[in-house]
Amino acid sequence: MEYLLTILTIVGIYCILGLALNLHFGYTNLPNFGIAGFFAIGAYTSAILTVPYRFLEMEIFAGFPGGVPGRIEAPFIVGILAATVLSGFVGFLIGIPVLRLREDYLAVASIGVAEAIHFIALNELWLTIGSAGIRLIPMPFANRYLFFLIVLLVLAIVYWVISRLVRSPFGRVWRATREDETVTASLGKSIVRSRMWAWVIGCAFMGSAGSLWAHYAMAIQPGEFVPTTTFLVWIFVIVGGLRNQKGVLIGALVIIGLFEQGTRFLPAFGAPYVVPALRLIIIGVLLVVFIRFRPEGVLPERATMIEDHMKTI
Amino acid sequence: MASIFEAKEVYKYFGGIKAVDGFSMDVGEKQITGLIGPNGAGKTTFFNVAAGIYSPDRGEISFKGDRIGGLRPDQICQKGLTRTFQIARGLGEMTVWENVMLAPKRQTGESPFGAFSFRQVRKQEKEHWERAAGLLQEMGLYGQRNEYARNLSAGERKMLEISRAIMTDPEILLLDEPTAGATVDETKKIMAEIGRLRDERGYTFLVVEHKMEVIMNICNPIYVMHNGQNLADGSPREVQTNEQVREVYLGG
Repeated sequence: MEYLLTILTIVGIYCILGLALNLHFGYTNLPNFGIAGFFAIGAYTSAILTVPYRFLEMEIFAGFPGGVPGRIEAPFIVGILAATVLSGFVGFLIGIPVLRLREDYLAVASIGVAEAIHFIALNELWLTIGSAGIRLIPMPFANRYLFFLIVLLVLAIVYWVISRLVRSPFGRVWRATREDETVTASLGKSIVRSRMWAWVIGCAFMGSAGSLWAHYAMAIQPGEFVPTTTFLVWIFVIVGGLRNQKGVLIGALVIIGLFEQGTRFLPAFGAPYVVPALRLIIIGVLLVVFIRFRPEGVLPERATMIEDHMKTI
Repeated sequence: MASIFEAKEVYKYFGGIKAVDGFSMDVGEKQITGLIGPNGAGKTTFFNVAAGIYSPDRGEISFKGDRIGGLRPDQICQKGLTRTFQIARGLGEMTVWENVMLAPKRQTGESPFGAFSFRQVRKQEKEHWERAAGLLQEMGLYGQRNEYARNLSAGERKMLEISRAIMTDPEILLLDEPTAGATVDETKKIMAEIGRLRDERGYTFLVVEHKMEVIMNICNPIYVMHNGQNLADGSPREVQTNEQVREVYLGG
């Protein structure tokens, strides 16, 4: 039971990342290859703000001169809110120069951001303790079951907010921009403004996910926030269904469940060291198969009828 | 008649190509002005300059007294000038109703905060849909309101393009070949709609067209453009009987 809880908690956190990427790339055509970076901003912000002094004492005792983590000891709620806001803000700063340009530039810039964040995490010891990482991050209520409910709550909020935005007139502008910028501009919509909002909101939610991760794992290191995380999210969003939130959730469940733990259930075929490689192979094959035969994913985007729209708006 | 849109000696070059080479025109309020000329004369380029896709290299374009040369397309549309495209650019991945509901300006729901003012958004969506539904019915598109725009025929897509432009409630509408690809029936409908909008709502029109029956029947005055420059202008009869125009364009 504990084991299932662990998988579901991790899946839940990845779901949030997936919904945010879906907002960026699925609904607004903004390729974000720096997911790990915004995830890290959220995780570190929350960790730095909430970790107790006890941790700093340990570090100082071990020879570390002392730094910011451990001096603030804020409650979890402050941690996650700050993580969300700061991640969104960093997204905003990057968006200013880059969103006027073609999407390709955003893809490259976002990779740069993730690398820069990684670099800061590794080297700004006074802020992040560097490669040893931050430990003893408090889990709220110190209860795994309650924490899972918290993750579900955040996931539900993120799902609802994005769903609401996409169904609104604002969502229409996003989808129109995604398809044809010239036409959308000719109808009086500001392309940069609508993209900036999608970008910032998505980055903010990635920060929230990062905060949840830090409090779940209770210890974080720069080495965790690597491009592999970013690409895993891309894979399950594509496989699950770009532009369909339910599809994204299914994708997360399947891919992350499989990647994280699922292969334990596979028989070893006499060669136990094959199994970890096997899971990567399976995921790779799944990605290729889906892109080739079903690019819309397991659950494709569906049109809404005007009658339904007027009932639910 | 007060002039609502003016182009003064507009020039637009692309490298060595003089697409618009000193073109001027005046569009009077509530008039349906025509712009004709052979293919390649520079009409669409002129439209693109007027709508903000390009900036004029020289010359001035003003709308309601304000200079609009150099503004972005969305800014120009917000001021009240809407244009349609020669090849109908329907947003194919969205449905017909989404296409027309996208168009109205200044929707509350179009900011992330506004999107959560449920009551306001619901009220506006209802109002806009009433108007849109009526418009779609007149254009014969109501039956396809839930279809993806890419599934419409070429003529239907033209009608959708025009409907969308109308939904922005503009003061002046720049139509680039509105009846290209339309059937005889659709052409009649479009012409009737243009006339109706001018009479009932006071819209001003600038229409680029190739079909003579459309131009001569509803446009007055008509400007003729050739090689990026003014060739002639005047009433339909004046233009039809103009020697140079006949030579260059009407084929004698």
